[in-house]
Amino acid sequence: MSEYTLEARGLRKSFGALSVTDNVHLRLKKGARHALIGPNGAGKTTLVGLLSGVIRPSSGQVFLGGRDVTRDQPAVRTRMGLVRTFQLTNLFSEMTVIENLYLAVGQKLSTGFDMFRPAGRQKNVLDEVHAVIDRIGLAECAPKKVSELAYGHQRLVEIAMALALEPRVLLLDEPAAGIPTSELAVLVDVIEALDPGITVLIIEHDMALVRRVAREATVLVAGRVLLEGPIGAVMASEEVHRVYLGRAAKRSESHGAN
Amino acid sequence: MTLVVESSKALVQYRFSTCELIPFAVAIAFYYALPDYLPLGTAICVTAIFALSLDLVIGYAGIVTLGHSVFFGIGAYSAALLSRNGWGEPVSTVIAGAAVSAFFALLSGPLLLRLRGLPLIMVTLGVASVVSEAANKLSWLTGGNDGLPGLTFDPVFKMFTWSIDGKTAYLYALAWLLVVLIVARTVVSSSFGVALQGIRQNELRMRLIGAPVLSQLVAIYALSAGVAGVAGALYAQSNGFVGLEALSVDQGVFALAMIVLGGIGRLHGAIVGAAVYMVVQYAAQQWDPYYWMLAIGVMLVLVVRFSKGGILGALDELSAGLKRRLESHL
Repeated sequence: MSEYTLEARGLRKSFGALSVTDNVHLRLKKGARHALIGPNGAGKTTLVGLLSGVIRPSSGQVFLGGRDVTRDQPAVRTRMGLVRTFQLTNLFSEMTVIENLYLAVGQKLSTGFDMFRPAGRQKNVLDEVHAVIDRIGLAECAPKKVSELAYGHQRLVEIAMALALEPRVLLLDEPAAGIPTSELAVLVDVIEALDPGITVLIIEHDMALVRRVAREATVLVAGRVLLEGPIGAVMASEEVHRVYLGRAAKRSESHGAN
Repeated sequence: MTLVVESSKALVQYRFSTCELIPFAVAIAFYYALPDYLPLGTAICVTAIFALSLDLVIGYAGIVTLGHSVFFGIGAYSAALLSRNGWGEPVSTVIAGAAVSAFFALLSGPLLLRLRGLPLIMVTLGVASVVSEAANKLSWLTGGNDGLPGLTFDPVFKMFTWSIDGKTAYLYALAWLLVVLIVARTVVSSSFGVALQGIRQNELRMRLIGAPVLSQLVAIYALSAGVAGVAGALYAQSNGFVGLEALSVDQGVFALAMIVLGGIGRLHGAIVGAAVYMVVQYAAQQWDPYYWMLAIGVMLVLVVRFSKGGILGALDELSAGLKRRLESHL
């Protein structure tokens, strides 16, 4: 067993001449709370795609619990405990919240080939679905179709789907994007209440949220790792301020002026 | 807590509704009221089973195939060849036909079901055409253009002989339709069935929750092929003849029209669609043996134009409308 739960070694991904991920190394220990920050277009979501297996790397390797999973399909990685959320909601939109969660829990409990027992009588699946619904506070939305929910609620369903799978490694791709400030506290509570044994990689632009939940951070710029270290040191770094945080601050100022 | 489960159609689909008895009540009434039309009734049952098999793959799993006639044909030829070689027990023949069809689906599924959308439609259509042509050439096995005539089968359960009035054949086919419907209904309302609907809606997300998507698709494809094989074997038994038209690509297309007509992805839609289609076809052929397709065409256009969910979808809307009106009066 490796010391690292999730490890990327020399990951590269290029589309023609454009290199979107350039020799990225990443090491997350069990229980890590690691943030991935950087300006738009830095290749953060591509990196999540590479880690989760949706995108194949041009070169480099991904290790999960010390095992090389570079060639494994996303479904295999999920079954090994690597779960991701999506920046843009990617759910079963014509199904209800409970049905969405049923799919996730049902898969986790291996009912995917259970052909002869009625879905509505799988008590162990339904119990877990209800537990997740309560935990995220989605009781009111539960009977509604995902497409009928407010975007902020859809984002919470996205998180609930990931938690329903009981991940060992959780990749959160901009979980706060689109969640109204009033409901942000729910998200923070959920992340803070995660089992300390779960390894978390979080991509987020909301620096207040990052400061609160992350202990380490990696700064990605133009597909390369600019800096890596404890969250305090990264946030204090001159260079990071120049290429990212400063810009983000300036942008929010100009937004304020509007 | 139970309230939430109640709200989900997919999860409580297993519950029986008395409306589901209507088709079978009609079928029994048909038996007593129109004994002269029993051969048509038998053909409707057989076609309904085939349409139902197509609804399993298209309506639930979202696998759009135009090549399902292959599995109907395999079931039909399997039954015919068994009979030719001295095995005439009808029920085991049907099961054997289903098993052979399902076996070929298990072989072809892992390759075909990597495709989606138009490529899948084209490839399944191509495979069906090739198989049909191959059957024509392999006349030592299939009888080629002459088919395999004069098939005989033992009495059902050693009791009911295949009478000339078609009573046995009709009740036998109807019983199979009931069995197939119960199996299909059980499967689509299971966890597996819900997973299929997930694949139809968002395959990538199903993969990312760890679902073995390809295996699940192959499983439903094989099950559906088995059901199509049942229909094929029943076709052989009720006609006493199997020819190349059992493998004709048109069949898969007509069956698709039937499930669209009745209402896709609801099983009973396949039964209603097959019945209405066959009755209209029969009446139109009486009316004009050359231009009868016109009637079918007009009917399809009208139904699709005025109801998204086919005939059953229209009935749903109607009953919902009536309910609202009643409630507003109270």
